Amino acid sequence: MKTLIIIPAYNEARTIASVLKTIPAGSAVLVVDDGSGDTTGQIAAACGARVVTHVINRGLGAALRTGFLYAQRFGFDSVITMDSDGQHTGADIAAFVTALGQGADIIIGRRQANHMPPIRQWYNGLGALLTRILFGSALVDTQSGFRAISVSALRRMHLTSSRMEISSEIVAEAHRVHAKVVEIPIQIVYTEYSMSKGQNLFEGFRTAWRLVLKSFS
Amino acid sequence: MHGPSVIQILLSVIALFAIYNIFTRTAARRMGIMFAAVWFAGALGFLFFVWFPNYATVVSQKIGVGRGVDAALYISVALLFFIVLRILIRLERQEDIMTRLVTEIALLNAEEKKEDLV
Repeated sequence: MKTLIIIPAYNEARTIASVLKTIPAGSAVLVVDDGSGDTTGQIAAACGARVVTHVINRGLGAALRTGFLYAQRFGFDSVITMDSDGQHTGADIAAFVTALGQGADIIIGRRQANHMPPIRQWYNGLGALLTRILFGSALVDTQSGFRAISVSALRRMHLTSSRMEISSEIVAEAHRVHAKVVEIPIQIVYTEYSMSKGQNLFEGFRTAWRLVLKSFS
Repeated sequence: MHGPSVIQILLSVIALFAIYNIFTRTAARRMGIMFAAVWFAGALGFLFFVWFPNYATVVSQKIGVGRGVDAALYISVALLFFIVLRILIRLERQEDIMTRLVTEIALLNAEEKKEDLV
């Protein structure tokens, strides 16, 4: 099974090299540089990753969609997505590959609530609740960015999100196309840097609002 | 007998301008017939209540709002909310189109790079 590891990155020159170093040697890695203003793309390329670049910043969802299309066009069977801010470690990749081999279409890396800062627990709970209300999903961690998806499932899904709401949209689409979804525990490293990135209260409300709009369109 | 008030003339001009817009847009096929018919009926209804405001009060009292002006205000707020929602949904679609363009450009560049390597 040919698996592509997709890392969406926006202005992550500080962390991208250390994230890439944790990935097992020989893996196919694609860094989607989402219009960074720093040297994220050059550093990733110097570390041996494939790099595709967005001409302007379009958000997490857009970067993931680029990665998914890349995997489909370049003959991969599955993808694993992970964050570029150092929260995720490549040591968990083997568990995802094993789960894919056991026939799951989508594997979500479930963060352990007791390892999560309280504010992140709150965002995560809210995201899961909203995804359950709008899309009927019963998963625990719908916002985790560490996931594996088979390309056959990706081909059946219709993704339209460009921003953070992609996490919930993938879960909703998985539900719609009756994909087999499982959750596996993952390690998570919260640093001051990673906490300053990703979700915050304002972003959370914006994501929720976009999800509501999407349910209308 | 009193002549038409300034506000009646002003609102009539706005309604006639809207009707003119509906016709020109429909003729240019920029608006569907059904959508145009709904807007046309709305504009005619608006004109009717501008010139016969007593009927607006009668209708308002029947639906329990009170004065005709209050009913017009409530309907306007609801209509504006609907229009804003439609614009936001359309904006979301435009965002998606822009993302698809950016994605395609990125992948085309990646494919070119791959061909260069071969």
